[in-house]
Amino acid sequence: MTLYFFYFFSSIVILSSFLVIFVSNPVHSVLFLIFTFFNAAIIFLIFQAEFLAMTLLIVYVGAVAVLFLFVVMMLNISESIIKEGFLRYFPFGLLLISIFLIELFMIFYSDEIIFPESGLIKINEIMNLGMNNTKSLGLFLYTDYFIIFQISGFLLLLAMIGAIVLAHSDFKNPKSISPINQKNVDKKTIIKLN
Amino acid sequence: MFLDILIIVLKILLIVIPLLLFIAYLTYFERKVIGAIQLRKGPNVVGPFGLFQPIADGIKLLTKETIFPENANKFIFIFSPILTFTLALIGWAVIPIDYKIVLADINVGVMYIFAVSSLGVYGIIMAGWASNSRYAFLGALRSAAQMISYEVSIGLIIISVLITSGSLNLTEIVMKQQNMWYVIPHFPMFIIFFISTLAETNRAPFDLPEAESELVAGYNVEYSSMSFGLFFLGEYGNMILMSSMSTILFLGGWLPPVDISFFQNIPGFIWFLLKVTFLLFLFLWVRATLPRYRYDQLMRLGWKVFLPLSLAWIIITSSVVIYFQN
Repeated sequence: MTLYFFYFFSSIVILSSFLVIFVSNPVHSVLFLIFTFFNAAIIFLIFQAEFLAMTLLIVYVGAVAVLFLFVVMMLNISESIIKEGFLRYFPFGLLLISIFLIELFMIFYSDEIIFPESGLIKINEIMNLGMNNTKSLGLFLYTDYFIIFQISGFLLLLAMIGAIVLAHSDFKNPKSISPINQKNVDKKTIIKLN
Repeated sequence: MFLDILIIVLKILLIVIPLLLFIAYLTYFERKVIGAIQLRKGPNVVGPFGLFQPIADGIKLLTKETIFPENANKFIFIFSPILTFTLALIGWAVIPIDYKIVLADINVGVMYIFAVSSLGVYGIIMAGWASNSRYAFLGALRSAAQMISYEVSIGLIIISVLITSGSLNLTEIVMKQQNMWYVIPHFPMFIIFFISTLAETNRAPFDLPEAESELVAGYNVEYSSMSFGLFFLGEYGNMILMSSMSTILFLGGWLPPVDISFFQNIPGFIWFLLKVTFLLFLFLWVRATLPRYRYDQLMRLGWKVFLPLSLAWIIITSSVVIYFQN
């Protein structure tokens, strides 16, 4: 039963991710991307990884994809421009796909990466103790992968600071007005009589 | 197998039908409360005390004509009110209204509710885009920006509650509050959470998406008849969902306020209902009292005031918890 559900939802994922690329309207393709994320979350749920499923929904569907949709709606990209670039970017895309595919094979064909022998915490043992997977994920992340976890956090922080610096180029003449300055306005400074 | 599905369907109906009635009478309650605050009578013509007013409104909406704007994207145009309404309902699957009276007692209940409320943006932004109208689009953009901004502080406040309770399960969070409701240690966060839920549900004083003086009615200008009705029901359903969320996180869910036998004889779901109704009354009170925020002030409040405060509160909470654990 579970297996059939898995096949059903994974075929939806594959189909909708193809539609992301082949649909002509950019807004529709973002909506299909959201649909893909949503079904991927359901696949997580089927394998009882409820924490990962909810994180996927909150982070990707609830935040990242909304910003995607925002940008695509605001830019108002015409459909012909997208079609033109297809052949030019195709080799580059092929390169990226092959890198990701090789990485996936490397991970799935080695038990070392998924179940490290040297690690202090054995994920199988934790699951056998009957803990819920939120707790075991937390134990796993904050012991064996602590440094990697922290580094990825710092990477995100760096990206955030970079984005703020790029967006905030005009420090001297900001468009926003602080409410405190607005409240302190009086007649003498604002009204001029010539 | 078949019987199990039948039982689940019955349970869902037992949740959804009272909820729809509650939503219908929330509109009546709102008009009565605002009427009383503004020294008017409110609805009093249809039925005794105007009690059939919501039903009359519903019939009026149902019998109106559905209008599709020119060049509107029809599928998304129809789909988005359905999505909004569905998301307002499916959150109730994990809300415990009494001890063990809940449809699905899942491990990650808090995250589920948070995910559902963060999906609510899509209904609005898709409606605004599909209507092919400037007013609707501007309203949708405002609404989406506002909802994302206030979700951040809501998430951080939820984290500080989770640190104190040590569980993501909603029933366990309530049971941890038997000695003391979390509103007492987390009082400043309760206030911020309440204000954030006002912004999250697009209610006054943060009802900028439907600022009728500048944007006509925001993302739902082009909607009529039942498609508008679904948006309306979704908004009020979200109000009730967020109120019950703050009841569970801060006001001790179904627990009585004082642990004496008289209070314990009253069934838990009545306490739950009373607390939710109190919070909803606060929603309406705020609407009748405060003027609308300006857009930049709204963003400033979300990002520059609530975000640092709630982030600091997480650090304080976790320090206190670790200090008392050792």
